[in-house]
Amino acid sequence: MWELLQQNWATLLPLATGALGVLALLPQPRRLPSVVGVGLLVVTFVLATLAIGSVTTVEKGLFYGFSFIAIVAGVLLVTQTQPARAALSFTLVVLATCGLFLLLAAPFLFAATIIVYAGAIVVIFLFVLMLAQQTGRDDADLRSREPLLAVVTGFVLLGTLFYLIEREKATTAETPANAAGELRRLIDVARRAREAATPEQLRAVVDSAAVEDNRVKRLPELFLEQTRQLSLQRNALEAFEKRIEDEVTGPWATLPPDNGDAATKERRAVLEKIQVIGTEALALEALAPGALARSAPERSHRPLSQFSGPVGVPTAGLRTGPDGKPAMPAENPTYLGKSLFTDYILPVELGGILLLVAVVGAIVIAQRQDEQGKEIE
Amino acid sequence: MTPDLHHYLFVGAVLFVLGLVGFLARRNMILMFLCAEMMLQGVAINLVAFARYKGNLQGQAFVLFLLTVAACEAAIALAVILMLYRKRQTLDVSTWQDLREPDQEPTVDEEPLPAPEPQEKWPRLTPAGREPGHREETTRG
Repeated sequence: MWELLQQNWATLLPLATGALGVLALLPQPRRLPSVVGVGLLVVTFVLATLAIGSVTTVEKGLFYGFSFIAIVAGVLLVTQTQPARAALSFTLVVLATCGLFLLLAAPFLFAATIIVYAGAIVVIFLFVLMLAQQTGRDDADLRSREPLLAVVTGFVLLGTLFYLIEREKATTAETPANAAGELRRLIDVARRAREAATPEQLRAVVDSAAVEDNRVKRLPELFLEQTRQLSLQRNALEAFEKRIEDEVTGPWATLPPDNGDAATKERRAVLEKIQVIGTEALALEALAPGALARSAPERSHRPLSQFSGPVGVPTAGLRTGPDGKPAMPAENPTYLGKSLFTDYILPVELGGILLLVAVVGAIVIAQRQDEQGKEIE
Repeated sequence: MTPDLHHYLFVGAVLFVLGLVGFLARRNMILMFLCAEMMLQGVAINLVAFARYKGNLQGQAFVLFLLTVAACEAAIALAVILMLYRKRQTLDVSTWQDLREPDQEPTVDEEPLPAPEPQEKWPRLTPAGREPGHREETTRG
């Protein structure tokens, strides 16, 4: 637990201050002065900026700018006591999101979202607010339902999402192609760490291998990750995973933290076993490279029809134009339109039917009826 | 040096969670609905980012359908909200808590709201001059 906090404090601290800030700003009968909440949120953003580091390109600057606007407007939307202002904050969220769409090379969605959301839906919201709130502010806007529980729920979920994204980032950064190479390197590090007689030599191995100190501590986990990334047959993979996990949860977990002499000896034994397992995995992979792949990434990336745009092969990156440069987003509406009317023609029709039904339903629901259910003229 | 996929996923996650917190905590029906729409925005960012970084258009097509469904949802939800408002004359969802499960305790607001701030007294000018007569003027002869 303590170790987890130590490793992830850079993520957890902004999360905690952000949660407290939102909690302090949510409308309640006895609310802290809003300076407290705003101050906590400022601290959150400063911490996040520290984690980001330097902004080197225009695209990154635009990305962080739009994200900042979207998140600040989102907090405003959640904490406003005046619904009309909240609706306007929502407009700001949508506009910032549209900026992100543009950065993601989706100009058609950028325009469509502005028209549909910022244009139509927000105007309807404002109309409903005008109709419904002619008597002034409602009591409901000054109270929250279980603010503490809501904030805890939300931010625990956010922490989980962050953790998963971080983990995926770590594992997908290396493609299966160089998983074998990484495994080979780890085997080498393990061999030299095993041959080290004293704690000092062990440290020298760590330094020369240019790996962080905790990587030798994490060596079995790394082996496990790399074995998983090799496209081994499922049975073989499970066997390897089980064997490594046996080693890790067994002798490795009970080792004293100190790099004492006895500990080094035990560590060496475990490393030797893990090294053997890694070598076997490599040999199996070399015999039948990707013959029975666990996942077929190429297949899942293939577009449905040729109109969906030439697909980027994972190794080659994004789709490119005839000049070899990444395709301009100006092609985007063309490809999107063709794709909608070839790959997704049935969903488009169903979407049209859904819109029609929704309009009829809205009219029926909004009709005034008297006690007997008759329409009022 | 462009932002990576996970940067966009982080932003999408933050928007989604803010919408979730608002949906759970706020009591104004329209605000709850806006928060749900914000959750959809977070999801849309995710989908477009995946489309970009996988190099195909499936995510963008999905977001178009998401827009369609969101528009339908807005139409229906606002009609329902108007109807509910007509019955109880308030947008507070807690007035509909008799629809809860039978074993749930009702939510009771125990803490009183702080007294509204007294209206400021502005200085008044004494009327000067004479008020003109209100004669009906017609355009017809």
